[in-house]
Parts: sequence; C-alpha cells; structure tokens
Amino acid sequence: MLRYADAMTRTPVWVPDDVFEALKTLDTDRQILEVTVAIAWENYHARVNHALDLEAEGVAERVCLVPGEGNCLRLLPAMCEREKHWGARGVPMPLEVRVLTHEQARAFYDWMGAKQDWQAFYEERATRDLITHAAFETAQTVFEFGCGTGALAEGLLASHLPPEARYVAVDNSTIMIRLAQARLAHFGSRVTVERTDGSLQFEAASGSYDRFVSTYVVDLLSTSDIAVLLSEAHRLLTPEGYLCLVSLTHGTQGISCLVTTLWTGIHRLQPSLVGGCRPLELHALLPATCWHLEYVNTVTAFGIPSEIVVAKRQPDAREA
Amino acid sequence: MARLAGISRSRTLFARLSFFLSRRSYGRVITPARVYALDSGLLLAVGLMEEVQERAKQTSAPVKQLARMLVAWRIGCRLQPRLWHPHQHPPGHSRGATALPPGL
Repeated sequence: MLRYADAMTRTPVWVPDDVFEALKTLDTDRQILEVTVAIAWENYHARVNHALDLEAEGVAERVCLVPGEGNCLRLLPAMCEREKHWGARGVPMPLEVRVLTHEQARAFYDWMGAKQDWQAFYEERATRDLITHAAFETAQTVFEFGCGTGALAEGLLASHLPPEARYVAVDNSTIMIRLAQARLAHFGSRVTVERTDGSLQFEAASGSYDRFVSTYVVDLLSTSDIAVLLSEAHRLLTPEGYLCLVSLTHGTQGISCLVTTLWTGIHRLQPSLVGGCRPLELHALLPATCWHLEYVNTVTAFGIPSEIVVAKRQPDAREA
Repeated sequence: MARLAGISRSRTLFARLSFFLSRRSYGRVITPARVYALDSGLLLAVGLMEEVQERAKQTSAPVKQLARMLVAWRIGCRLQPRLWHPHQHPPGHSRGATALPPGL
C-alpha cells in the first residue's frame, strides 16, 4: 500500500505492474478505488496548499517518518492545535461525538421545563413497552435517574407499583425537580425527589434498589459517563435487580432511518438543538460480565425509533 | 504567509456554514477554508469530495490515513487539514510511535 502511495505521488506518476498486482491480492476493486482516490486527494491538497503557500497553522498533524525495526516505519505526530483548543476549554476533544456538559444540559432542561411532556408523542409507546416487560408489580424500591417532570414516576406509582413500594427520583434540572415534586406530592412519603449536582454517583447504600430506571437520559451522556452510570446502577441494584433503560436508537429502515440520520447530523452540528440526545445502541453498551439482557426491543413512533432494554444484574467478578 | 488571503466574512450561506464547521472542529477558520470561500462552487465541490471520502468505509481508516501521511511526507512533511473533518489518528497512535499495521 505504501509503495502504491509512493508511486502515485511521483512526478510523473508511474505505478509499476508488480506494485499494483501486489495491491490486488490484498484488496477488493472497490477498496483499491477508495485508497487510490484518497491518495490522489491528498496529492491534490498538498499541491494546492504548497502552490498557494497555505500554512498548516499548527492545525494539521506534523508527520515525520523515521526508520523503525525491519521494514516498519514509525509515525510521530506532534500534538496538534485542535487538541490544545479543546483541552483549554476543559472538555474532551470531540473525536467521535460531542455531548452537552452537565451545566449545558441543566440549562437546557431548565429552559424546557413542562414542555418536555410534549415529547410523549414518541416516548409513550416505548415507556409502555418498558413497563410491560420490567415486572414493576414485584418491585419494592425504584430509583429513577433523570425523572424529568415525573410523568413516568406518576404512572408507575399510580398503576403498577405495589402500594408499599418506595420511589426515589433524581434529576439535574432545578425546574424539572420542582415540576416533579408538585406532580408527585400526593404520593407522600412513598416518593423522594432530589436534585443531583450532575454527579453520576449517589449516596445510597449498595444493593438498595430492585429497579434502576432511566428513560431518554442515557442518550445525553458521553460514552465514559454511560460507563460510570452503569457501574453505579450495578452497585445500587440488589442481586436480583433489573436495569430498565429507554433511549433513542438508530432507525433501520425507511422513515426511521432518515429521521435518525437527520437527527445525528443536527446533533453533530449543535447538540442542544435536539436536547443533547443522540441515537445509541443501548444493549451494546452493557458489559455481558455485569448484565444479562432479559429484554431488548425497538419501537418506532412517528418515525422516531427508541430502544428498550431490561437487563438483570449479574454478580461481578469480586462478588462471584 | 499564504499567497492568497481568502475572505474572513462571507455573504453566501454555504461559506458561512463551512466557516462554522471549521470553527467547530479547529477553534478557528482555517486558511484553506477562507481561500476556497473565494469561490462558493469550488468550496462546495471540495467539501462534498471530502464528505464522500469520509463516508467511504471499504478500507479501514488507519490504512487510508497512513497512505495520506506518506503522501504528505513525500510532498512536504505536512498532513493537510480537512475543511470540516479533522484527521483521526490511527488507533493507538495519538501520542507515541506506532508500527504500521501488518501487510503494509
């Protein structure tokens, strides 16, 4: 491959037959085309920028090839300006997906307030499916992360949970907490609604809850935050406890595919335009060593697909 | 110093969008974006070409990246910044030296 790139970069271009034949044994025709175009495009860029004397301004990686062991070359990129730029902001460099910070998420949901209930048109079907498959009738203690206006908690407490069941709901947004407190006040001491400081670790003792619920919140978090939250959920749940999650997911066909592509594009441009949420494959984020997937389903409402996951807590290595 | 200064404020919507994406990725509008913005049609064409290549996944990204790096080194030891999509480091390659993948 490198010999091919080298040959294509020469002036005049001369790609010996043996180089191309060697490439054909490694790759399909489409792959060869893709690599050829990539090499030619880099040639185009390099030549335009050299002719116009366009400086890299510290943005591009500076590349040096130095001899390594045997035929291997080693590549040493310097730290680029882009990393410095994001580092100075105190947030991780957006290699893949940028998410709202805890403060941005709080500000957004403070602004959104009661308007969040308008999203019921696509959320309700998925949450109904979750309720059907998470056996809330047998739950005694429920922890909800990101309770929003308290709509799910109200539904569960009124119609699904046993009368003696306790419910703890937390959220990052002050306005949401006020709305949830007002909505759930008539359940009295059965419910505790608390505001978190954005932390993903809670004061409750290990094994305190038999359901850990979170609907349309995990898709706001970064991958590393999701790992922390799942670890905390694992700690909070009893040995027979269930993790009950719902999030936006990727569409697989027709309109849902189009909607999620558009949604992902908007999220990439400005996460707050879509409330910071992005489509996820929830079940793939649950480590098999900690969770046993009991139920995984995708439901689509108005072209917006949601994934429902019910997972049973597995003892971790230390407990086992 | 670039031989063409380009433009820093554009009246066309597409150039503004391009500047926005550049700022988002690099923290500022990079010179190639300002220069290409002199001609919106060219800016669109270059941007689309990069977008299409970004979506082509038949060959693994690290392999293509290495090929690009070699070209950049051959021509001037500088990997050219993309208008909107910054280069991704090959896996395990972001800080230190990395041997090339097998077969290269």
